[in-house]
Amino acid sequence: MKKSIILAFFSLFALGHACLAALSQHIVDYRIKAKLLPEEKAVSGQETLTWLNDSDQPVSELQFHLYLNAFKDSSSTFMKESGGAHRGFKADKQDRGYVAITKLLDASGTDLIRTLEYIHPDDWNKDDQTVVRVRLPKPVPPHKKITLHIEFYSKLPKVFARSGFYKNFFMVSQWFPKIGVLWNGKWNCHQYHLNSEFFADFGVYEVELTVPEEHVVGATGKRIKEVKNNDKTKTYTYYQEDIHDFAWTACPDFVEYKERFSLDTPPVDTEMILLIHRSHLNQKERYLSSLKNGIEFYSQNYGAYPYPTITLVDPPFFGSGAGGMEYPTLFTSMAISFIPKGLRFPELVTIHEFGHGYWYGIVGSNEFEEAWLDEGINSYSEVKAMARYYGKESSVLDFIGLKVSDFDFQRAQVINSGRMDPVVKNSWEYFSNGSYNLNAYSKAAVTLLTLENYLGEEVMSRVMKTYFERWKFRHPTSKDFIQVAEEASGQDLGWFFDQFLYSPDKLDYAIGSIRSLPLEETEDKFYLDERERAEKKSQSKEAGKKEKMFRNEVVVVRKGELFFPQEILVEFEQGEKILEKWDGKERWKRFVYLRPYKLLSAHLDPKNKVLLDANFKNNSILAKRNRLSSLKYALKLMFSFQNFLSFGSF
Amino acid sequence: MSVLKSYRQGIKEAASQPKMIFVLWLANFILGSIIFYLFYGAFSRALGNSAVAEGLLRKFDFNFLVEFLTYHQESIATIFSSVFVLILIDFLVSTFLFGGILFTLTLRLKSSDPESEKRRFAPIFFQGAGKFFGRFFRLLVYSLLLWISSLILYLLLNLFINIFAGLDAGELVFFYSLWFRLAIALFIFFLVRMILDYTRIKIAVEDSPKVFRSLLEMIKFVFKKLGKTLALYYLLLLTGVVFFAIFWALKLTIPQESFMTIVIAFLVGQLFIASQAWLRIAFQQAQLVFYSPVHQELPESSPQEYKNEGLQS
Repeated sequence: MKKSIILAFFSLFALGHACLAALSQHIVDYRIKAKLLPEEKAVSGQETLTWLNDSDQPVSELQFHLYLNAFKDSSSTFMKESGGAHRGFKADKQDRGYVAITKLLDASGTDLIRTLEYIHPDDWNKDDQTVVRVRLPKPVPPHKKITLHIEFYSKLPKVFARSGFYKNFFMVSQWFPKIGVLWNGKWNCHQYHLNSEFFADFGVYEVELTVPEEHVVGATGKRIKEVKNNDKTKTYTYYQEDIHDFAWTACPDFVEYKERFSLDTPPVDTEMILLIHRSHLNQKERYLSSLKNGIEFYSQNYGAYPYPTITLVDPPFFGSGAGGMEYPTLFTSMAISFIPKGLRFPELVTIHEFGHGYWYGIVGSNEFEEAWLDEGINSYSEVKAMARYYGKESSVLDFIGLKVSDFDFQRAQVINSGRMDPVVKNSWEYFSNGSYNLNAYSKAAVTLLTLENYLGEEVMSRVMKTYFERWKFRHPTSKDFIQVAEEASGQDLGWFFDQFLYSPDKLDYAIGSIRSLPLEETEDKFYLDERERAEKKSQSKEAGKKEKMFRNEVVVVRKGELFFPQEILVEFEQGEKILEKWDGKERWKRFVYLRPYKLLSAHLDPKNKVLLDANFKNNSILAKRNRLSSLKYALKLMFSFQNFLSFGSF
Repeated sequence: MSVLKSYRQGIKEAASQPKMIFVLWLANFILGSIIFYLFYGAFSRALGNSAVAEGLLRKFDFNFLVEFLTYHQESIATIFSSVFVLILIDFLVSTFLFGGILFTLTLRLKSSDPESEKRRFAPIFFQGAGKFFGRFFRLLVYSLLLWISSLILYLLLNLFINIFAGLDAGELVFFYSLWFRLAIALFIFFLVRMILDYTRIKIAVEDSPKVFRSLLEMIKFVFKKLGKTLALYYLLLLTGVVFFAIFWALKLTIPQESFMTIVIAFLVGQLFIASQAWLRIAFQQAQLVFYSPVHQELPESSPQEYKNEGLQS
């Protein structure tokens, strides 16, 4: 009795400790055994999934993602939307990808495979097999768990859309039957689309990976076991809690580097693992230093990196279709061995993909429905991180005298946009892939940078920290972000978000005109008689000797549909400066100044805070035109053309 | 004649042709001026009275570039179509000027009194330009065959390189192979240009109306003396590279932030263009000298007008 009380006490203590240690609510618990079949370019797997019905309703069906079926044939929704191309890579028709469930049992051993049914919640494409429904013999009661045993076979495509193989390189992602998210009482389990990434519940993953022994392996989580088998294979076991996906990679040409990274404030202690392809060894330092920068920046600005490992995978050049993608505690970057230092592409991709670990990995955003919560917030964070570590004006490009910042690139996309969509929209419903990219990434990033300039850096920092702290290991929506922003700033920001997140319209203010009209005391007013008129004339002559007055006018106009409070800096010849404020709501506003001197210039938004403004060029007017720039660049281009003709004439 | 001797004579003779250099520079300058006019107008319209213009004077502004490309697409379309037309015009002008260059140089080579042509530069130059324009234009058309054959050869070579250094060979090999492919492309490009140079020289020296035949004979000639012709050509190219390096070093020292410095940079640039005109003459002269010994009997076989023109002084 005493023994059992002590045992019960320890069990309760252990359970309590586990609950306290867990960072997220563990909705899923995956135990997977997978074997890489290099000859078949496939993975065979067994998955034991325990799922918690966290709702207050009984659940009689489960829904699963079968992402690899997007590459099964050309009739899938992904292929129809993409035309078989993704990020410039074409799907290889000889090496398709798919996932087949070969066995599905519940805990009692009941075979559920006959209840499987493909569903198409987004587009009614009956040929799409990326979502499957399982009807349960009896519902899962509220707050109870169900355990399923699934056996599956995943054929990998030739590297395409993040996953697959290239020769002996394998990037195994979105590869196993993965349960959807029961959210607000409904299944949130979307098909695999061209313009969307992923959404899943947090939980525990323990995965055993068996691969040929010469392969170097990297995976989500921490490696807890390594066993050499008799058949020239090795089995690696990885374990991680508080994550919502599991990806891995294997390639005999990887070289592995490990380095610890620690921070005192906030406390961070993690192991950086770099799996770099042999052909890119000269990029090792660039990868490691940018990864350190990423961990430091995100930890200091949003919250401490919470996992014991972070794995950076550098795919081979011809497998770079797998590059530039994030998974919990593991991401793929991109480099080529000849890339000059001034082209900071490896740094940019590394920091960007690491950052996803925060806004997709830790804050579990729904990328199907509100991609900007990950892509946009992360692009905003990336612009700031790149500026901090690589210079504000040349954070992306500093090459042969040409300097371009990350912000410049993001803004270029925004002003080039066709303005067909707002930022917040279901990912697969954007007008085009370009519209998705510019809204979910660039416009959202520039929007947040503008908000930061409006609120001030300190307040914005509070917004971001609060948002991260409140929504880490949970699933936020745009409304949650707005709520946090308003709460942390103490301001009603509805006018801001309504316009810039929910409208595709344009923001553009301009200085319409400036002029300085000499004021003359007029003597020929209709009510004056001859004598009075002569008197006035002599008075004005005397006044003219004293001081000439000017009516200085500045007209500012709102050319776009959206509004934003504006500042206008007006400068006069004698050095006088006036900073005007305007709520920006009217279509135009005129400022008038009576001065004994003329206007020199007018600058709208002189501190360049309103980064969403579609045209910086029309934000200022000088009284005296400067033609030297036109001369300089026209002569430069003339000279280039002359050289071209001269070379052609030899 | 030896390569070095031909090179020296080419350089020397080109230096003694300031009027010819001026004509070549002027033709280039006129076409360039049209581009200047178009760009100046487009930039002026785009910038208006904006303060962005002041910033641009100090440094390149990526945001302005993007806004210009986005909001002034009509101007850009006009400029691009003008560039296309100007390139076509330049083809014709260059073909015309080649006649003048070669006629004048050939005449001087054959004349016992080199000073004589200097006094009568314009009539001789433009007479030659007009005289050979038709033939050189035909050569331009026939040269398409040579260019197309070269392209096919290049593509075949690429296929061959793909066997050893294609996508499957690995990243490093593939990237090195890109440089190798570029080198081959340039080699073929310069080889064709050289053949066309010698063909024009042959036509001018012999006053031959048989353009296509001359082309075939000069292909034979170049391949027969491949080492020497290439050596001479690349020696002249190297001279151009040295000029370019000097110009670039000079240009870096001029910050173009005021009217004066912009004008100075412009003048230095025009000097560089003029040096290219000089080099173009040097190319023709050196290759002419190199080719001439093969035709020692030229005075007898060449038409009477050469002798007459040479004696008119």
